[in-house]
Amino acid sequence: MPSPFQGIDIAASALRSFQRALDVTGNNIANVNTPGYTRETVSFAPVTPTEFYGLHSIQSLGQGVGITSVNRIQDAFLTARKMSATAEVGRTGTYADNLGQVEQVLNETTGAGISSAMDGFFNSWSALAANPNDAALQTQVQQAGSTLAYKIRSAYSQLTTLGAQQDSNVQGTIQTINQDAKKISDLNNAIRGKLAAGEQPNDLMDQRDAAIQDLGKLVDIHTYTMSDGSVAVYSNQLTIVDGSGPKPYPANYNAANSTVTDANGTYDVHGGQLGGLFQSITATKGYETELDNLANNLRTQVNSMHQTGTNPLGNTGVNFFNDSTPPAPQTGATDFDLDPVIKANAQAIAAGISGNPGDGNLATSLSQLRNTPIAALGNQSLADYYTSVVGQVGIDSSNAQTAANTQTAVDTQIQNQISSISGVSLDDEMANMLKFQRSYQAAARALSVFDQTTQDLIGLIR
Amino acid sequence: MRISTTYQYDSYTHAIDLANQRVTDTQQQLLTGKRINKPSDDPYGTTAVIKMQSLQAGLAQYATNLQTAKGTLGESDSALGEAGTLLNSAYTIALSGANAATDPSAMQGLVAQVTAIQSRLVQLANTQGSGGQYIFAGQKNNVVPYTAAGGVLTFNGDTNQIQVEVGPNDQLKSTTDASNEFTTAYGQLETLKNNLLSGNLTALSSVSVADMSNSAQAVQELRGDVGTRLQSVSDLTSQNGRRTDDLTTQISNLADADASVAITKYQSALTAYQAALSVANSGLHLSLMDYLKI
Repeated sequence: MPSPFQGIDIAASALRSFQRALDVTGNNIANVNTPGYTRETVSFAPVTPTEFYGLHSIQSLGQGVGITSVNRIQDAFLTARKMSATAEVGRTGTYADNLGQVEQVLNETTGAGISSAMDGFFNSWSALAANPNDAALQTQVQQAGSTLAYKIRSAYSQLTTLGAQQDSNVQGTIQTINQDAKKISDLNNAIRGKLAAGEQPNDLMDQRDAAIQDLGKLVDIHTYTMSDGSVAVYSNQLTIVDGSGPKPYPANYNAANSTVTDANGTYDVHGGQLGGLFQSITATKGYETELDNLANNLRTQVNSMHQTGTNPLGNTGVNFFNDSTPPAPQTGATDFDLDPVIKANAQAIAAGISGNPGDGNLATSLSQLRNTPIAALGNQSLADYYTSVVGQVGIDSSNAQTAANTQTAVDTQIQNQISSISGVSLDDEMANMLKFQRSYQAAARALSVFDQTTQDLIGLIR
Repeated sequence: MRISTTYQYDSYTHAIDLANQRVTDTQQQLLTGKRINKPSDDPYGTTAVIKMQSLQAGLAQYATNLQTAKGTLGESDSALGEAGTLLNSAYTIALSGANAATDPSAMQGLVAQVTAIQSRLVQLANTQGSGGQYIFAGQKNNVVPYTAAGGVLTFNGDTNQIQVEVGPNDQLKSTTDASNEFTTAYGQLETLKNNLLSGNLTALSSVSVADMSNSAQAVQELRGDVGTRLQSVSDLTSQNGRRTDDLTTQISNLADADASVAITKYQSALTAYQAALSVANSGLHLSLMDYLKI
């Protein structure tokens, strides 16, 4: 048999529930600008009815309303897609940024790069050939050779610096991966505890989602939600976080294979900032090798010709570019410079083979080297080889930019879909607020009616 | 599709950002006047521009070399021209000497003239160029190439000539081998002088007249050869100039922004930017809040 105060309880449950619903709406409005916030809705359910004896049978009477849960509105499928898109944005963006820097090092569009230095070098030989015994022209060859060597050396050293920067970025990224893994694991523990106590830790779940998104920018990951509510994070075959806690990310890496290695094995890295850095390191190394090739071939070609010459000092067999132990090993672009003898005295430069002051045949041959196909460079001339390197950098960089733009567009699209489902709409919330406010007002009115009837009942006794 | 408030604001700002970016990009092209500012702007264009710039740099050097060759050839031409004139007057002297009417005192005058011609011829053979180099010395051009002693002119130079690069795998001799012509002419002048001194009319008329005619002829031919090369230098120089101009045009076509296209793009980007701003302005003011009375 229902109590005479039943109505007051029913109205009170409604007031409580609508108050909570208004709170949730208020919280949604408050978090309209919070990144990663998932909008929440309230699930209402009737309180288990009580029974009373009707005229002929037992009837049930509703006992008011209660809130069963405060839900995060989320699409797990979209979240997973967002994760892989984020990893690609991280990879392509990092790669494009790094290639942009390589482009700056090898920027030939300003007309002050290796290419024009090479033109200047060959031209100085051509000028010397026209006036073989002009000391000023010998100095010009010396200067042009020195400028060319400096340009190649300095481009190489800038690439090396860039490579070192990329290496240290890898270290930094791995550190951040470990920090994120620890954060996710800590949140896992907190969420597990709350869920076990029957609470719904929506804010912690949002925080964990944000941490997973952050991690997803750094390396390609996938997640698995376990029955206790904690999330395990894997990158390909490698476990980053599981139920037992964060696993230290392998610190050894092979950029060329895009793998990381620890005591237990070797694991692929396909995406994220880390994947982009590995790609960048490999690309930078490739361009360094090409500069080495250019320097070594310049050395071999120019030296082997210049050695046949006789300089105005009467010496023969003099190297033009430094090369201590020909034919191998050559040291590439890193210390590419004039031979010390040439550096010390421009008179050591030979223009001809005969030693006659007017013999410029050797200088002419050296000038013609500009168009000579070289077998070691795939039958390209020195200048063409370098031009094709610059072209390759341009193509690589342009492709990387396109890929980065495409991935960003894909990511934005998915983010828009997520935002459409999980984002707060102020219009929605205003409508909800009005709904709950009106409901609250009605419940309050019901309470006052129940109060009146109860009062009337008590009044009878008096 | 449900539109969340964040999405609404994000899409406005994204659209405004994009429009602004385009305005800045087109502005950049207009400001620098360059379509290619880095290799990735147009990789194929970049390599083409570098190759053409390289060709142009080579052409500039060939132009300088042609200028050098022109100097040396010009000096050779005037020296050989003067030598030709001298040998022609020697021919006239030989004719006068062969004439029986010429009296002995006049013969003495002719001898003096031939001696003067000989010494001038040696001076001409030892002509120095602008850099102090001997232009008729071949590659041994830093020592006096011709020395006269005992009526014989000796050549101490070299018959290899200086080659100037005037194009890819294209060379031109800037100096001229005149050693044969000079030494022969000198010897024949010596013979003429001796014949005049001895008054040997037969030798004068049968040998020296023909000698002088031949010498003058040989020097003229050599001068013709120099003239041909001067003509090539002039042809090559104008070819070079045209090619350089062509390359300048092509480089400009590839690398420079077309002003009218760039301005049109800039205008359209500006219009799009204004449209994005105006849409955002009206859209951002819409909210259910303005219509509710709570």
